[in-house]
Amino acid sequence: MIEIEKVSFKYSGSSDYALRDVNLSIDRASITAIVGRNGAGKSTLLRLLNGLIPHFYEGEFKGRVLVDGVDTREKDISDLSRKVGLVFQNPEHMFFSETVWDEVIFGPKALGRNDFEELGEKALRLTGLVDMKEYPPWSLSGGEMKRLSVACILSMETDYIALDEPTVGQDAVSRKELIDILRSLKEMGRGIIVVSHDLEWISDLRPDRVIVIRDGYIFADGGPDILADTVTLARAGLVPPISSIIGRAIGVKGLGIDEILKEVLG
Amino acid sequence: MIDPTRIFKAFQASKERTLYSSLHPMTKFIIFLSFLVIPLLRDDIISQVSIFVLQMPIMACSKTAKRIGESIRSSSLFLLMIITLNFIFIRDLFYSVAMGMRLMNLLVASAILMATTNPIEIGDILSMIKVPYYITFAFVIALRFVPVLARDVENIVAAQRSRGMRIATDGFLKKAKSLIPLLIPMIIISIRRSQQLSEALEVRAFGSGKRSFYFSYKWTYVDFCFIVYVIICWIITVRGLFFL
Repeated sequence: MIEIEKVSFKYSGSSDYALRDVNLSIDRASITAIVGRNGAGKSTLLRLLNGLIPHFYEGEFKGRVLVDGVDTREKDISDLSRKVGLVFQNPEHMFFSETVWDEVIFGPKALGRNDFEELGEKALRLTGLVDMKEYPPWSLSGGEMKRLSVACILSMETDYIALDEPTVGQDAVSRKELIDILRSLKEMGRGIIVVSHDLEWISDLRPDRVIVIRDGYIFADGGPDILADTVTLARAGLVPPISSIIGRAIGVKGLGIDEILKEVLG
Repeated sequence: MIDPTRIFKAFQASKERTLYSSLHPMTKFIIFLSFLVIPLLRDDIISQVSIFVLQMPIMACSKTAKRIGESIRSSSLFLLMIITLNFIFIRDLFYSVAMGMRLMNLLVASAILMATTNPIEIGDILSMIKVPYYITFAFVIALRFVPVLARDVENIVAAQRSRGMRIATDGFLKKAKSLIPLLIPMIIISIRRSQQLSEALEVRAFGSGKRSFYFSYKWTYVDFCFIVYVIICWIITVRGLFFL
């Protein structure tokens, strides 16, 4: 379990707190969606999970974050990355190897895993990139690059996987593929944390829990029903997803647009 | 741990208004050029130390001392390499240290200018000295992209560290090798960005005619004081009144 206890954080050089008195716990084998407007503090919250805050990003840090009982202040980012994998918004920031295969095995090798070949194979199979092993990462399409960045983290076999705005620049097919990958990871017992302002996609993902962030504090925390709560979302500066509006109109809750269409069309 | 990405930080323009940042851009440019030329004219350690001391009041007025200190600390490995190489080939310790100090003085002068002058002002300085606009613009864009590149470096380092990467601290070769996961994305992202930028400029009619400028700068007595100070610095260091 990841426990965030009374965490406040202010980036160095900034006058405002990016996070204010955040209390949160995240379980394994679940999908937690963190939503909010741009600048609400979603990405900052993600950076807490693998120790980038306070180890890499400088600033005023209060409170503590425990990953399976380990205080992130006491462990290096490299050590914490064995537990929590972070997929960045821009996959280009990760790639440097000649081939997709070299890219995928970099993480497990950096962690000193001897079974890196097996882990790499598994990650590529799950993300559907097995046939692209020998491709240069930079030659992939946007959706494939995103899947590769997920594979790079999957191969590290972390208990928790956090994704920052995974749908940015992705087409409908890639978005759907990403949902399938995340659902299968949940079934494998991994804790999935997704940060996004794309509520339509979050609604399709059908998370177990939705956390709404506004101005650095947790504004609402609950089940996927929050996505249909027009008032709460509007107060957080968000527009409810069309699927939840339609769902509410026809008396169905917590379903993605695909399921609603099936429901309506029989 | 020394983080090589910190070297960039001193070169990012600061938003803070200081006595120094409000000077006429040409004054800042004259001071910068002076402290770029003076260290190159002298090769003894006393001169280099005195040039550093003479830059300290400027650091104080521009409130850049802390950032420059961090930048010097981060480039210490490079400075040490310059000193060692000089010592290996010249076999004169004082001369070698002076060469290291010379580089540090150049770093300080450049960092003060970059931290206190926004890229537009630097472009205006170049225009004032009749540098063609397309060259001025390329220079301004390069400077403007320093913070963008610094942010990219920050993101890349964060991404790679999240993948278990460690920057080696022992041995130059090991350290250089451990930086490959940072350098390659950096180069590729920069090339892509430059391509996008050139396309963006093309579609916005760059270079289609003579441009106009909006702001004008005024000289004040504070500029005069700083120019007098820099003349004194020239006399002290080049004429060597105190030391020779």
